[in-house]
Amino acid sequence: MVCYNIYIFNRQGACIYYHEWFRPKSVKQGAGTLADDQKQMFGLFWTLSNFCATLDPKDTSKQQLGAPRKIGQGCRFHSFTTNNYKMHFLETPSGFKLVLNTGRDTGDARELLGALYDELVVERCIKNPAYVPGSPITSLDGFTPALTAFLKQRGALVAAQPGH
Amino acid sequence: MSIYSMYVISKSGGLIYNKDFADIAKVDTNDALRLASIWHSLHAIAGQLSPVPGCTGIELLEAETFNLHCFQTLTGTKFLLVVEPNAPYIPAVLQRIYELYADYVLKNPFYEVEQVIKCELWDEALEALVRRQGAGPGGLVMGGSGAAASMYG
Repeated sequence: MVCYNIYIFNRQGACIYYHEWFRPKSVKQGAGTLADDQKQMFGLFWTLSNFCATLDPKDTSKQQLGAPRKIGQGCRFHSFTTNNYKMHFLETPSGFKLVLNTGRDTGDARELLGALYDELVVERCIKNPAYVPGSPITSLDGFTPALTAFLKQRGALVAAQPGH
Repeated sequence: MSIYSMYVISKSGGLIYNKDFADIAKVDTNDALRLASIWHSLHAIAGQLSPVPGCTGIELLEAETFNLHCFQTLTGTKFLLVVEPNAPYIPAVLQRIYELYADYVLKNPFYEVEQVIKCELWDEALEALVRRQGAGPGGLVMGGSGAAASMYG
């Protein structure tokens, strides 16, 4: 399983963490700048969440498309697959949103994202007295190496990337 | 019934056909139109945000109570199928739907491309395909609909 990049957004919609391990298509060819890329990613999953809530076949009390939706309300999506990558999404009840882009043949990563949130975001950021809520996580030392080690340990990060 | 509903989106992003196959919570016409246009844009944005070059858009969306499969033809027409999470053989069903589209819609002399689809034979063939799919996987693998199959001898 190969991981391309990861985004973490807070409740207000700001991207507080971004890391890439392997990104052959540069940001310039995509959205332009990293900030635009993050905003587009937020817009993408926000719209997909509303889309799924409206399309939900099991919910008889669902609202019209465009109505404001609370966190956790309505059917949520957990991943989408394209022809060359797979995007996994997790929204926690507190409003944190994790996005992980991996290779196409990855299985269900919901449990992985949940564990990532528990062991890394909660332990190292939320419980950290030096962390100011809402500020970028990149200001914390040791988060990125811990994240990479966590994924490697789960077998989620292939050591040698070029040549895929 | 594993297939819930089906949408066909034209290459410019407008909804040209939708049908519900099950009595589950339906989407009303206005919302269906909006959903189709939204999907068209999201499909393209996912390609733009891809970390790997050569992405052609979303093929499968997995949610808690349904999966959405999307098949995009070389001409830009998209076929969306909303199915239950463990529905089998859906890419094959989408291929078959594309064949039915080519046979009953595009070859219909009164049909104009990019317009709303109003072809009786297409409706009947689609209904038969979904009913066969709901009955069991054997129905799809064994053969296509009568008219199309007989064309190939």
